[in-house]
Amino acid sequence: MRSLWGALIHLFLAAACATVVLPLVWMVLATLKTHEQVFTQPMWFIPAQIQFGANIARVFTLIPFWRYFTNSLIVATLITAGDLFFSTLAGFGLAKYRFPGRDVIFAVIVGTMMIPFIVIMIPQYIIVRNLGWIDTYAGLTVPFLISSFGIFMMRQAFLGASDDMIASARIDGAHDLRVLFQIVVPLYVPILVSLAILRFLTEWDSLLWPLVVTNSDRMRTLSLGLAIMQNDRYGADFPTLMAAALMAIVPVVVLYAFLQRYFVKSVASFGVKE
Amino acid sequence: MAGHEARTGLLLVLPAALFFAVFMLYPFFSAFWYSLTSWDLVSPPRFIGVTNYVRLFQDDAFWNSAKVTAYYTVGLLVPMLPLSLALAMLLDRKLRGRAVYQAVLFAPTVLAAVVVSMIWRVVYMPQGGLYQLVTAPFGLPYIPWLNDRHWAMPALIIVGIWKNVGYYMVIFLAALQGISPSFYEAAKADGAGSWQQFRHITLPLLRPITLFVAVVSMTRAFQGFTSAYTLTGGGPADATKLLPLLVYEHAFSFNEMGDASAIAVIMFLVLIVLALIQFRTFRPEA
Repeated sequence: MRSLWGALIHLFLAAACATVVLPLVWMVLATLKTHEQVFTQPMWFIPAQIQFGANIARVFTLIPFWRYFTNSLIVATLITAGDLFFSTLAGFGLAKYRFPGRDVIFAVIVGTMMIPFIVIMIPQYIIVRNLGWIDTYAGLTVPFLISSFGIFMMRQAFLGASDDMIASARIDGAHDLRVLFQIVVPLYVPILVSLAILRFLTEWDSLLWPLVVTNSDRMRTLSLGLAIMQNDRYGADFPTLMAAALMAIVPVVVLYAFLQRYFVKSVASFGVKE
Repeated sequence: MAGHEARTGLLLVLPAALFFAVFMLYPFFSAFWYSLTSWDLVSPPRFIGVTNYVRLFQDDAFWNSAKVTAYYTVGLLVPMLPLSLALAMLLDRKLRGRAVYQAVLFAPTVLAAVVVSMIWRVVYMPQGGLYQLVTAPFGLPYIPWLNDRHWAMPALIIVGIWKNVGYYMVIFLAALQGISPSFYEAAKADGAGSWQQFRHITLPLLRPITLFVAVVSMTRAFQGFTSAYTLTGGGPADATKLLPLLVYEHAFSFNEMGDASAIAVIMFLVLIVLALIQFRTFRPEA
């Protein structure tokens, strides 16, 4: 009875995992074929002449893949770096200093977590337009440089920092910023890594804002470039489409394979109450 | 010394405070103002009171999108959240291959939504799609998925579950692992069966995290954009035109910033009401 139950659990989990993996296998299989073969042969059929190289090559003739990729990398990295830096500053200030208005500022920042992006999208677009930032990296990054979530996370973390340790560092003559970055921050690297992963993934994923704020092909991010590629003319060119998808996925999957623990931990950290 | 502390604290928080004033609060209040204007971005905004709202409430396209969004949100959350909790509970035990199961189930979470849509485009393709390959041997009927206005939404919901179930599973799992085994031991000593343990220990202790997951997943589903934009473009016959697509269309295809803002404001108000209801439903029992 017990082992039957165990076998059922494994069966269920294995089926769930197969559901996750099958579409990815499908993607890889499609990259091996020509356009006609995808429609005329069963997908499991592997052609004598594997088209993988040709399909990858065609991606580069249809879209500036590396340009998109680099744009995504620049945008996601800038935002992640900005969020880590400013959230650390603000989180420390809110956790370890007393000043008038502190609690109001914190409450307002936390409150903005309830504002859905769709509500502020149009006004943000107007601001960026007025600043002349349409189609620039500034337009893509600046409105997202600091997150209320980041500040909240860092503030909660720094609440636990030892006051004695901070005070004794100050007595040794260390400046406030030196105390923060040389003594406190090194103790909070894991939480900063979690924040960095979450932020980077979110921005790498982002579609709506780049769609709104760019109009030239050379400023498109990877998500936007690929979305337009499939909506435009190449939506039915499955081998090329899947080759592009594969190229977009491989770096992420490789990172995930090595850093899986940190990825999972960054999400799981929501569940742990401070 | 106190003056120094106050000054330094303020300086540390100042960049973030200014940022939030300019890029969150100001846009937030602007949205309400824009929603009361007629504005095509060419001539300056013109105050027209609640005309945009009145017009929207008489507009079939708006009600269609509202219904479609409700369908998507409920259709996604109702199967996904219990499934993610079930998977978390199965993984919350000593189990061979547990780490592998978790790694695989979580993997779609890290893939970009646009890329996920590309992959599912092939899974759903009309001839020889993966679905057909798996179901044809069992004699199940052919489903036109993305090209049929009854099936397009279920198709998007399946993609949503595939992409997100691992995310909520991991959150639930972390919460489950935080429950002290002593609760279960005490219950077992009192003769409680598995179902009673689940009903009277697991579920009550998961209340706070369930609230969190319910609010977050609802907010995300309500703002769903990417899969509809890339897989169906809102079609066929507007069957998947979620509200964010309607906002985007009004703002950037029709240049009606006022109308678009009014839709966004309505979405915000509905979300706030729904979140409050969830807070009442899931608040920890006193």
